[in-house]
Amino acid sequence: MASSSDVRDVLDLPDLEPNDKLTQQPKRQKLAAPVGGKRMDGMQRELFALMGENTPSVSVTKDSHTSLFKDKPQWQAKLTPWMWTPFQNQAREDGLILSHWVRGGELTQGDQYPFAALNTQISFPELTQEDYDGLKLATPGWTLEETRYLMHLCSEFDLRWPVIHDRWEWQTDQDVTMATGETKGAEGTESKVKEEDKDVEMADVKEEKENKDESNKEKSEKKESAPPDGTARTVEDLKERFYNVVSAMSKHPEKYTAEGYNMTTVKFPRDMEIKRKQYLERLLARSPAEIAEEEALILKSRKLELSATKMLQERQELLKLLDAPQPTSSVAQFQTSQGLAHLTSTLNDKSKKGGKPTKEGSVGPQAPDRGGSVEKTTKKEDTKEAKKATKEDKKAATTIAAAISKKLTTKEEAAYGISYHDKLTPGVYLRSSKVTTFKPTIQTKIVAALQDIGIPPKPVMPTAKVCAKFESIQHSMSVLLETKRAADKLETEIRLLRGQKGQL
Amino acid sequence: MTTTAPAPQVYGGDEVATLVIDTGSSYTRVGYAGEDTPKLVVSTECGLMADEDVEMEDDTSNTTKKLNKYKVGDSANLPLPNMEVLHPLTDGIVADWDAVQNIWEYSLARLNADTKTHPLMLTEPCWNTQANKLKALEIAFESLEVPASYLVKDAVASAFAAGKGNALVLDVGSEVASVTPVIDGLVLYKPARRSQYAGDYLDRQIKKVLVSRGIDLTPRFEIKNKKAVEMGEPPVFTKRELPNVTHSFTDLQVSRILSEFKDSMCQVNDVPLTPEISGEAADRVFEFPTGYSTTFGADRLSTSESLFKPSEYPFDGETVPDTARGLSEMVVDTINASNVDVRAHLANNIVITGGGSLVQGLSDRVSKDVTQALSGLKVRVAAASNQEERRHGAWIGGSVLGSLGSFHQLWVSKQEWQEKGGDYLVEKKRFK
Repeated sequence: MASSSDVRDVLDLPDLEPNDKLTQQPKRQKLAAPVGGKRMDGMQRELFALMGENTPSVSVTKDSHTSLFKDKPQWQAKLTPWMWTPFQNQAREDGLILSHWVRGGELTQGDQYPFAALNTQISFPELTQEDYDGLKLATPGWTLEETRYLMHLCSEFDLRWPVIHDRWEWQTDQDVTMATGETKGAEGTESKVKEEDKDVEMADVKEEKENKDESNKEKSEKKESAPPDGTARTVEDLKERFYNVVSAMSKHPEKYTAEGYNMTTVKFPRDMEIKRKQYLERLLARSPAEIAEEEALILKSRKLELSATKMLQERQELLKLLDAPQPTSSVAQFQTSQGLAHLTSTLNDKSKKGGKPTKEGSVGPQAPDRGGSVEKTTKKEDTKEAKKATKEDKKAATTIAAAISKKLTTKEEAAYGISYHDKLTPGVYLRSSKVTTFKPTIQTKIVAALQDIGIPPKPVMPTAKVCAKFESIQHSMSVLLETKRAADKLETEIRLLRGQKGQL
Repeated sequence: MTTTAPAPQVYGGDEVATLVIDTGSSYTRVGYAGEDTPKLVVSTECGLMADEDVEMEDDTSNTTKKLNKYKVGDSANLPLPNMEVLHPLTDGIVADWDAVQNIWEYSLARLNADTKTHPLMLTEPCWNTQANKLKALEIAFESLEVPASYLVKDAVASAFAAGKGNALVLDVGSEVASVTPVIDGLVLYKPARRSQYAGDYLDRQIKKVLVSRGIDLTPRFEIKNKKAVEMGEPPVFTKRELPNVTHSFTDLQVSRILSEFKDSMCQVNDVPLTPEISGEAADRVFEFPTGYSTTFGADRLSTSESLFKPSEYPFDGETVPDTARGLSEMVVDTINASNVDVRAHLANNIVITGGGSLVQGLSDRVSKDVTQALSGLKVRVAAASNQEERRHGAWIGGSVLGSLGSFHQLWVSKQEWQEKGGDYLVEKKRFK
């Protein structure tokens, strides 16, 4: 009998969790019987075993949350009324009473208006002359009133700098000066600002005179840093001033606290900010062609990067292959004649690549001896010894070379059957098997042609000479066949054309 | 027991039955906040019965005289003798407050709204004057006696209607076309631009073309009967004799023909117009109230092109100032005049609204022009495809704002008005 767990197992479904809603219902059923009465036996038990843990295909339950069907509408129940209810918004100070629809009755007095919590504001402490002096905020180009105006705007527009800069109207705005309650009036402060600015400008002019060598660009930048009148302040001017004030205030956290703003010492990177904006401006001022070019270049560089990493990876793999020691686990492979032949051939290859086989070969065996002596002798002796050794080496090498060159003439070599090979494949093979073959189609033609002139498809006595000759014949035969084919083709073409000409 | 409905809290809505009035140059929209279209759209152009004053004084009391002096709504479209048609707005801001107050009162009466129980949301253009703000609040609190009121910038409202807090709003109205950057629901004044090259200007361009083709622009109300004629044939109609119909009324009725022409015929080419392109324009037939019908091809394109290149389409005897900017140029100007940090936001959220922007192909053209001029920025234009949403964008934004739970703290209450005074409220820049 397959239980549901078996089915789940077959279908690769996870085991049912005990708190799974689906399982709760059948479990309750299962538990109901044993808890309520005695242990089941007989027919009842068999029946239950048949049912097992299987959930019924349609869950019949009165629980509205798990039911597949909607509850019957409760016509008899009392309806919850919606009431047009007056309410007060705690975010307002004037106690304006508006009305809205509320479900289920009256809003009791003192209930919090849910949207009042969204009323967040930033407010900074009001600066007084005392604070201004105490925090040493006096800087050329700025007055207390203007600073207060700045802080006021910052709190009014929640530090949205583009907006603050847009609304910055110091020269014409009289609200703040009026709000400060000073009888001096706006004009007084304005003229003060102008005077101060003049001073700054004068100072600038002096500086410029001093640094005549400086480029024009720097001069213009300096002018920017000290604007001629209040309205022409840049966002950077305002930001710098604001962060200076906040930084000064943050040193006295017990005295100055801002609502909704965490005052910390911040150094405003004015020059960097200006530079960033210049870069951004240049980035935005690109022409479509420039953008397309840049995109193409980026694509290209990406491709290059990709191929570079790929190459690097391949190179590393290659290096790994080269560096890895040959699996020369046992000497057994060199104990056979084949193994030895392979070893010599590989060694020969290496020595040939090295360029100076004789020298290296002669140095090799002597090296250990010399190593032993070097350890005991002093440096001077060592060099002497070395010189001596190299002399001996040279001597030996020349004698060997002489012996080799003297050894045999080509005639003798031929007579003795000695030949030199660039590369030898290990093991014994038949020379005839090394005769070059052509493509099967051409090969059959060549073989046929050779048979015509009485030459067997393979040389009967494959000496080196015979094989060489055979190969040259084969090659010239192939060339001949190729030429013949071309000639035939041309001939038929000519005939065809002649025929056409005749028809004409 | 829940105190508020669960659903509105999800989107932050809390209805307080706000009345929203958007007074445009040609139409005034009135309705309740939270609804998707205004309940009532009345023509801002209203009639003023000049001579009837004396007659009315004889038989009725003073109050009825005053009420009947202005003809608002459908009655402004009746060819009444000696009725001058007023344009209460100039340059997009209210110049004739008596007329506007009449329109407001008329429409609120049509809505059966008891203004004493509804907060009133009004829209204003961002170049509105302090005196105008004061007057608007005065009417709201003193004569309409609303419990609370607020002046919202129409650009901000249009941005909200498009579901954006940051946007560059191109509002092509009838009198004024304006481009206004909105950052976090706050207008930037300094880079904002506006020009007169909007709907009415286009009407004049159309009129210029029609007159030059010698087409009779007799308005519908003057035609007693007409006969059907073949296309291109001269019209056969008889005029109705109406005594003392003013020129301003006739002009208004002629402008209705021009508006119809604008809506059905005008088309903005997707690239700047050249003689070759205008030569290839498809012909369309337009029938005038006189029964005369003819085809228009190149004129359909050239008239609307004037919105983009006003300097190339001057009127006779008028010189176009050097500062004249087409719509796309204004948008580009504004973006370039804005803080470099917000340019990307603005270019990516260009909202086109206003009835004048419904000229076929206008938003595509703006999009193309701006993309070409500002290649470094990603330009995306959001223009409602629904005509009503486009026409009443500012009203819909006011409707959205007026039904937001978090907005209710910003209302200027009657108490504030009485205690602090209008000057304080306006000068304190309560209306950011």
